Amino acid sequence: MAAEYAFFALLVSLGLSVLLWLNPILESYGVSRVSSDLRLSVGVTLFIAIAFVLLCHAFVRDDFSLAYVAAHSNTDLPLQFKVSAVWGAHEGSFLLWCLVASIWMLALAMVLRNSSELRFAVPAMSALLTGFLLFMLLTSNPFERSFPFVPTQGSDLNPLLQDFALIVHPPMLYLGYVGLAVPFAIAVSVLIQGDTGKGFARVMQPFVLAAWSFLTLGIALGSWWAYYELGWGGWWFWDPVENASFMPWLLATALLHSLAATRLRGVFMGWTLLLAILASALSLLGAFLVRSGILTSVHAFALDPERGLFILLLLLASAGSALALFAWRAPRFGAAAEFSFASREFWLLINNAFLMVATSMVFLGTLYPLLHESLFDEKVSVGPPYFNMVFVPLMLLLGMAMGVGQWTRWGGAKLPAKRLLAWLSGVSLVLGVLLPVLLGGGLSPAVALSIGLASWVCLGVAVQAFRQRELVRQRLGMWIAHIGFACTLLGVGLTSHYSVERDLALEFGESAQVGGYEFRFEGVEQVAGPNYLADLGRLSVRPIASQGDVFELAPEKRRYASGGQVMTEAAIRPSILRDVYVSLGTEVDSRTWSLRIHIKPFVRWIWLGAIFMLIGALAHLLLARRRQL
Amino acid sequence: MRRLLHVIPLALLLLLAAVFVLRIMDPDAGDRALRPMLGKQIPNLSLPVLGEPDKTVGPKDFSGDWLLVNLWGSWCAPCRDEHGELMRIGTEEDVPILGINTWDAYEAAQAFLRELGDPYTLVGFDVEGDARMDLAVTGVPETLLVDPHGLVVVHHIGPLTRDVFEADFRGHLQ
Repeated sequence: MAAEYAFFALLVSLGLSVLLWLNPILESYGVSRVSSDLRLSVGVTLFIAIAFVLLCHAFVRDDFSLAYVAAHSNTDLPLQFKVSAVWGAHEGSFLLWCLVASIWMLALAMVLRNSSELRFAVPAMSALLTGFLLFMLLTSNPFERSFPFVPTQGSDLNPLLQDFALIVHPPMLYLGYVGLAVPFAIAVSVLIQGDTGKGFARVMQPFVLAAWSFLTLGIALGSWWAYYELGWGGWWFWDPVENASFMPWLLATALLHSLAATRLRGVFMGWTLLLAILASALSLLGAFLVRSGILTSVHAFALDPERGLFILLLLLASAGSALALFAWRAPRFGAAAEFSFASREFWLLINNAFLMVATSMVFLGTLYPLLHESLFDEKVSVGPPYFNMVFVPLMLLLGMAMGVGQWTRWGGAKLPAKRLLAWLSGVSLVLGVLLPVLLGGGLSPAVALSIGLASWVCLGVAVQAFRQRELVRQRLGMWIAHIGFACTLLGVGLTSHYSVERDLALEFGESAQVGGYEFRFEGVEQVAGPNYLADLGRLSVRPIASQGDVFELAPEKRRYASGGQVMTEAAIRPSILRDVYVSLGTEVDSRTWSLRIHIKPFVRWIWLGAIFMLIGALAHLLLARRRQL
Repeated sequence: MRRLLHVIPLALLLLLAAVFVLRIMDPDAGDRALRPMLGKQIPNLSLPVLGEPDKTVGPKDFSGDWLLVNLWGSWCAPCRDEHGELMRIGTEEDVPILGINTWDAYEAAQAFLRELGDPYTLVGFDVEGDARMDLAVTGVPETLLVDPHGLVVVHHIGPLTRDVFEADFRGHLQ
């Protein structure tokens, strides 16, 4: 019966969320409202949470009478993966999506209380949630029974997903994606109510910061997971679905910056509203791309045109009506602002321009194959060379602008500390050229640029933090986040250029030298895990320069009992300066295996940078908020 | 002018939606996504031959002839199911079969053929999974029919049965 209760709970939450957006409409006809936004939001969240808990319960109890449970779990699955299997496929993950949306709506309702300033924000959000719930109930009900034939054993959760990072990756991403619906709802409310001044920006900012943080964490986790789990040492593939998560992130980053200008100076009001709408539209577009099967990708859920059409309608209805509202109302917003090129406003505009162009380029690269196929009936694919060619220069330009922009003041008429900036740029240039040579890596423009730009940004932050200590509250978040950007830039530049990669076939007892290490292949043994059998390779690794100790690496190749899927578990010796990475290939004969060995200098810095960006956002959220109270 | 500028985002969204609708409504779209090799030249692979590791084999070695390319793994139950039909084709039909063993272990693959018989003209062992990437298969078993010019004319997903063979393959082979 539990599943039927759960379905009923979802129906109740659907009813309540319809009431939420009917309220203001009824009010305009003079009918008094049913209940407050806050109370209704509590109700919606509560009932979705009940359904979610019941689905978890069904997974833990191995209730294979539910088709969704039977398809994505089995009795051998360890408990933590039974729980994460709840969001391991389309139906359940969409229930999580709805739950997250309702929680964000509740948070918004709590912040706004009875404020009349943004009184359409919660109803706008509930309209979106109504769409999500309808989508789930009509096309993707996770509580469907598999009567009359109830299987005694389920199939399995995709072994790729049986991993810690992937337990956390989807919820974080959803918190980010759906979190962007809050600025969207606020923007819609502002556009309906007309120009209410810059007050909305103060409400919007913490939500954008929080959603952006979750998105950053989700994307970084996904990239980290791909690195250690897929076994070929890559951390970003420009896969359509990666791009689908990256585009909202880029726009949310732009939004964070333009929002600062709107909140403090009252400029770029229309632009900020547009970014808020687009960021949310792009995250819905991402959901559409993943769940409609319109693009082929490792992330794609099962192909289903009906679901695709539904999400497309949802996207059209929400983004379409918001953009129509924007076209109608926004021209009245804010007068043209005047500021000099030395002002912070100008440099934020530069930041937004770069990020917007970067988003458009990723967008074009992701969707061009679709467009091309529709027009010319011929398949093309756009690969990493395109993305690297257009994206990398943009990020380098962004880094240069960041180094200047972080020195400027609001409304400033001339650049402060011009001499100092000249000095800093000189020092960075020298560092960029000298460091690689001193470290013996050889000089290349890419390495020089990434080291030069990273020091340009970091030195700037360091000197500023020293000279403008009184601004620490307002600026600490920015400083940390910018250092994070520099770390990622440095990591990407150095890893791409200095990585060594070898594919070898080694016999037991044989040794090989790769990138300053000697790898001795000790052997392979069979081990059994809870729901898989594995070949476990053993290598002892000795640094040839030999200050370091000998260490052991044990890459695995797992074969999962149900489904027979084979998974590679790379063995990694991580360190801040370089990762030593080995993955086990296939058995060539009884004593020889193929192995893939990577030495990846500075690869950790990519994710370290993401962590810094995250800390920066959280620091700003805490410090800058307190300043206002 | 200012007003026009504000309509651009909406116009772009509608344009995008139109493309998507066209795509979703296209009944072959999903099919084409699953079988991207259909109508294309088969890529030139070079795989070590199962049982004779110092020799290599690829579909191009058979050009000038019709060729069945069958992807399989010893652990895969549907591959076991279709093996009878492959044995029949191997003896009764006049078409070479190139097996590509993928996602598999060398010895397990050999044991499988010892147990059930070997219908293949030759079997290539897909060490790193390059072949299945190049052929864009989604799983095993899958079977391709390649014409004498190297074009993929049939891409069957799932086990090959007598009915499937008669319906989809026979017509081309006559």
